[in-house]
Amino acid sequence: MDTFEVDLLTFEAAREGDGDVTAVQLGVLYRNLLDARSRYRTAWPEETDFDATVDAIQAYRLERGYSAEPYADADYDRSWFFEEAGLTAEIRAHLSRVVELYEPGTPLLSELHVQLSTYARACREWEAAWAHLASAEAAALALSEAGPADLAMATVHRERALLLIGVGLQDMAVPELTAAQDLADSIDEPWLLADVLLQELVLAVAMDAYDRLVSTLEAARAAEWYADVDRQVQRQHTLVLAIGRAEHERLNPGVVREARELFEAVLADPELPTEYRRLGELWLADLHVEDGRLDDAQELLARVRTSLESEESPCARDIPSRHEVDLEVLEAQLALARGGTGAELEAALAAARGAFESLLDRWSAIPERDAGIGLIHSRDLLSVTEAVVSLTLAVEGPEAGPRSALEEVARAQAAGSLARALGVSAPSVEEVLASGLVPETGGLLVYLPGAGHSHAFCVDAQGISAYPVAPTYRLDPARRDLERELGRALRAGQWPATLDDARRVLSELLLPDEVGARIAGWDSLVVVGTDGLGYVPFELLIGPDGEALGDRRAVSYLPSLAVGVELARRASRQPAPVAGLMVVAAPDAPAGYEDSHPQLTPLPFGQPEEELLLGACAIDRRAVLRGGEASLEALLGADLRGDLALHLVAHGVRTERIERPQGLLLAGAGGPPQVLSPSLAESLKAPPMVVVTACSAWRGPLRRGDDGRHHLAGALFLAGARSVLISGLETDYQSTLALMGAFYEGLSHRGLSPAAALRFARSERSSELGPGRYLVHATGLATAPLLQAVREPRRVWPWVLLVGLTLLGAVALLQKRRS
Amino acid sequence: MSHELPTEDEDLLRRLALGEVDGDDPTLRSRAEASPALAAAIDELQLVGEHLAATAEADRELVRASVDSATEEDRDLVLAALEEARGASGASESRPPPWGRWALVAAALVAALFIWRGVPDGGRLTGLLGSELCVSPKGAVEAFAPFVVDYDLEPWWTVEIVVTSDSGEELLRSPRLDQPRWDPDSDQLGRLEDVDEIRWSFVVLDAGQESVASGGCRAWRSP
Repeated sequence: MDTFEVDLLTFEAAREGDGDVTAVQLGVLYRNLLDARSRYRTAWPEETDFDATVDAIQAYRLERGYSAEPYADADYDRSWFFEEAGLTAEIRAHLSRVVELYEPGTPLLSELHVQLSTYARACREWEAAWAHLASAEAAALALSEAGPADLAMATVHRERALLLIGVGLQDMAVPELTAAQDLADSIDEPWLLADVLLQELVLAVAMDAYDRLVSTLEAARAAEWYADVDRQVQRQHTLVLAIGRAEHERLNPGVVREARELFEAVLADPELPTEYRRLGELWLADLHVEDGRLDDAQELLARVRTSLESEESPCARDIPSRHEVDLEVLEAQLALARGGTGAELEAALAAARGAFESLLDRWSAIPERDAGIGLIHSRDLLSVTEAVVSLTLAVEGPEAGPRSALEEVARAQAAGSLARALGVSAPSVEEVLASGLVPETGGLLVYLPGAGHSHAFCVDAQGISAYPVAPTYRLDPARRDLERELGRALRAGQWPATLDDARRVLSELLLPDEVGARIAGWDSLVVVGTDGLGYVPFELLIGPDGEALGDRRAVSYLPSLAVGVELARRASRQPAPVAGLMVVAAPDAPAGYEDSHPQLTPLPFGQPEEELLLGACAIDRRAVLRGGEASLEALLGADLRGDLALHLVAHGVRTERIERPQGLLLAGAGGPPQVLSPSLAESLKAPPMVVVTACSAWRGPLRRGDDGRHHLAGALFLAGARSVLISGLETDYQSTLALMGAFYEGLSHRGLSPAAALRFARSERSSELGPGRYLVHATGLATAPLLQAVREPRRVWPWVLLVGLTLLGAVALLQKRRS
Repeated sequence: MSHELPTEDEDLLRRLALGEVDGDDPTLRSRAEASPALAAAIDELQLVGEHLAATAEADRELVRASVDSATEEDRDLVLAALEEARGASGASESRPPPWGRWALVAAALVAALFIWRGVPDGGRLTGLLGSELCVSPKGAVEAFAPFVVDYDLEPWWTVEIVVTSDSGEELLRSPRLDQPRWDPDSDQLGRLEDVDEIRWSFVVLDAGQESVASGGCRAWRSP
């Protein structure tokens, strides 16, 4: 019988009231219990419930008022044993108890919470990871000595930066990393400097900033302190450099290929820790798959699988670790690259789907954020979603595959921040088709961006098809080139040839021949999922007929299929609005405007501008607030839910260093001008359609794969709008007013849908407007006429009257006959 | 000032700090009446709470003023208020009282929540229309370099610059620049030697690699 078993019997007897256990005895028992657990981990006697015994000991300790510290020390000591044994689940369990037992103010506490946060992050338990960091910060604040407190805070900032990068919020990670760097510099401790350096390198990889990665690492290696950095940590730096190099080569196919040699050099080191070895092997396998060295890739993946199987995961059983997900994805890619048999592909699909389901659950459990999250920014979810779609298409074939794959895309989209804020769930394909989202003479073009390649789904009367599209690393530079050329063109008031070059390149990537052929007959095009791609003015892309898509087609945008179905439901539920329009025109110098925003040019909204905007508008019931009346307060106080539309004419302003930077400058109520930010816009009582004539209002930091809750359009959907017309770039004021004047003509006189009215306006104003006419976008439910819905109920009444009178006449006639 | 409290009282204070019991809780009231140390601790906690509430109200004001995100300054704001509260309450500088640590935990949780939800800071407001962001080269110039853009870059923001000939042929493309200025090397400048007129364009990218500004200019060699 073990010593601890004797103690255990004594303890059990004491609990039964037979004898007493002193503080020392209890402490010894606890330590022995942990020791025995370590030794007999795999053959723990079934009759002894370890967790229940621990709970009982702690309860007894509390009852007797014994100090908790020895128990915390014992758990902490044990965790080192498990660390050496690589038993991460046990480490987590022990540390979780330690942080509960240590008194606030214990120097170790902050570090332990950071460690627990790291485990939680690795298991994608985002809320727990975040809470541990808050506790770590509180513990750091409770430290009295500046040195340890700064050290603890630096670690908290560093870990928080990693957590934010993990959910695609690089912009939020930057200030955390900067704070960690500042503290590390002031402390001048090599291991801390090296630790923060590692995170800086990780951020550089996440941002595809290879030049920065190299220069940062070179500068660090040249510094004196780097010589004192642990070799293991230096190996980690080299590994991140290899990963950065691999990404750089993917982004720039012309550069010299060095990544493979870098990985091989890192992996040749026999002292490389297992976790880093696996990471290196996964990346190298990825390169092998890309280069067609499939046997080499398979060998590496087999090695990774063996390594993973021999290690206990710190996560709950149903949560795959990051490396497990990577492994499933790479095996899926390998199966596809080999052109495997149906059974092989099915097996790969089942594995990838399992990882996808689990990750989706994790993502859906991320606490909601007003400013969104980078849903598929993380390489693993992006890759696994792409793998599931590719395998589904391969397994189910061209007939059934696209439908099933689209269903998976709809599910991924439904995890978006806007969908969650609206409380909507993923729609089935049947629900999408039944919702009326697919235009009768057009279709939906749904994008799923991917790291290997992207997918485009065309949904129209012919059915559902899927086509491969260029991957994000090729789309992003082309998007930037287009935007750069647009910026120049708009400022110069010209349409340079370089703009057409940029349009052509991006069009070929996003609308390859097969997609072009499919959309050739569409006169209405709804683009879904653009927040995954980033800002792309599809109206300006070159269609299959060689003309701008926006010239021939009514183009509109939906944040996601889930949000689209919800907006359609909203339209069917809402009563038909009265044809009322409120214009809030703020640019004509509200009080204090010049003082507070001297860089903005005053924009007049007098009679000529009103005529330009509303001269051809058939909506008679309208209110125009201008100057001091066009205040934020007036707008927030107006209940426009029964009206048709709200038109905001204002300067678009951008507040840097905040997450939802884009807003509109309105008058202040008797005070300085106020900004209508996205968070305030959410509280508006918005009518079905909101038009925003302001620069770059449809922008914000890229939250890849999210559904745009962070910008003004998303906020206005939450405020009740179904359609939001909004600009993606800077716009010329007078020209945009003229464009929107023609839009109202199309909308009100011709009964066109918002998207079709915009197309009408572009054609009406094509001679006077440059590329700016393609930069006002119809988002949301924009393919159904709004004014028909207003007029139809009015037309019904004469018919009701006529039918009623006829019935009355018939009844009177019958009665006369009977009498 | 530090209060040595029995464990039960400390637990009550912790629950009060975390909002699990309110100030009118009968148990809390009766214990406070029996223990002057507990009553004093409650007063101090209330003071911290008021300061935190004032901070939160200030944040809400800022939200109302439409600034809607958060960074380090928010945490500083909360912590400064907390420090002020601790100072005002005469709490020990060297080691906060045990219950005070629960207030610190609460404050850190509040700060973390703000960061997660997106809370305001002062921000830097820029207009989007009418500003000319090209500084040089622009118009008639003696030399085409350096290329300078008038934009204050935030940390980790970058600028990309592309130079084309008058006919649209790409002549130069910068790497990602971490300052709004580019000095091409002599090899690169050599490619502009025989060119009389250039057009150049730029895009400013935020830390998430999304464009925040773009533009461009035309420049030609002065006769």
